[in-house]
Amino acid sequence: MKPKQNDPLESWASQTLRQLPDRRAPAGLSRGVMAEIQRRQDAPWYTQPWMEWNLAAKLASATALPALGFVVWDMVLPAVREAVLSASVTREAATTFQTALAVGDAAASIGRAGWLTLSHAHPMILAGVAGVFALAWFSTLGLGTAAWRLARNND
Amino acid sequence: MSESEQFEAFMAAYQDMVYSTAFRLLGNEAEAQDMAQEAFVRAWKHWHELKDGQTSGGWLKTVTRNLCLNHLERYRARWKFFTDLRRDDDEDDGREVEFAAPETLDSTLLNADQREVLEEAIATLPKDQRVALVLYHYEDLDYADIATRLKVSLGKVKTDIFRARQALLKKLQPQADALGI
Repeated sequence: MKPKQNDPLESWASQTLRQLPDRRAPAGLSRGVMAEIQRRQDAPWYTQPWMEWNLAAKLASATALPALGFVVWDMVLPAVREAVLSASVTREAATTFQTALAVGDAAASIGRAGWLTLSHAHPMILAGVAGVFALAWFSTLGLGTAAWRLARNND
Repeated sequence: MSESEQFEAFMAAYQDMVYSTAFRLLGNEAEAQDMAQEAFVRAWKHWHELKDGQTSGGWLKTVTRNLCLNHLERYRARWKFFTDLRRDDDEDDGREVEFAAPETLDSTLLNADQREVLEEAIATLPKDQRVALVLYHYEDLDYADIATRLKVSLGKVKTDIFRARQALLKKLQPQADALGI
């Protein structure tokens, strides 16, 4: 709560501003609110924010999402790969897919190598590397912003 | 009376207060209408708690105020980084500021023209000044609360409110002089 003030300007402002009546709300406000409530009630439950889902749906989604990820990674991708390699597609298409698969294999190898390094590296080294990355990121962002602002001010 | 009719009556009772709170903070009719609408939608979600309560007006006012401040905060955060070379509190050197104020200032009853001038003057104040002034005089927050809520220094809040009051006084003075008040 505010203490009583003896400042004449403040007293004047308080008394003057208190004289302003409330503004009249737009005529359509009430109608707009009811329409919005109806629209949100009619919307499917899964379009509501996740926090507003019921507990069962939250639990189910929290369980299903990692499971789905696992299935895609472990079963669907290998099956797609086999299907692509064994399908009777044209030679040109097969070459294209094989190139894409080779790129995918290379990326997977890099990922595995990265994971191997991370899982065996000393935590202090990891923290240092993360720090260097963060420093580089913020330096770049800071320099870019400063340059942008300088350029804008010189316009 | 059905739930929805009760809620419509509740809206009719409070819509001017909610809209005024939003408009004074935001200074924009369309945004004020959006925030007022959102405040009532939230009230509907809590209707089972609000319908029998005596504090529903206060609840609604607080929700409206927070929605507006969050809206302003989001807007500021989005643009501030790339548009403000000056920091918001550049003018604040961290010291308590003492302002020279007139010895006496008589408040007189405003006529309709003056009320309109005052409404217009509040809406056209710079955003920082308007928000601080409204929080102080209409929402009854003290300087420290405002500084905390707006995440700015105490000195900046005092400076903004002082400048806002002066701007309003300047706007109203010619009107008062013209009318011989």
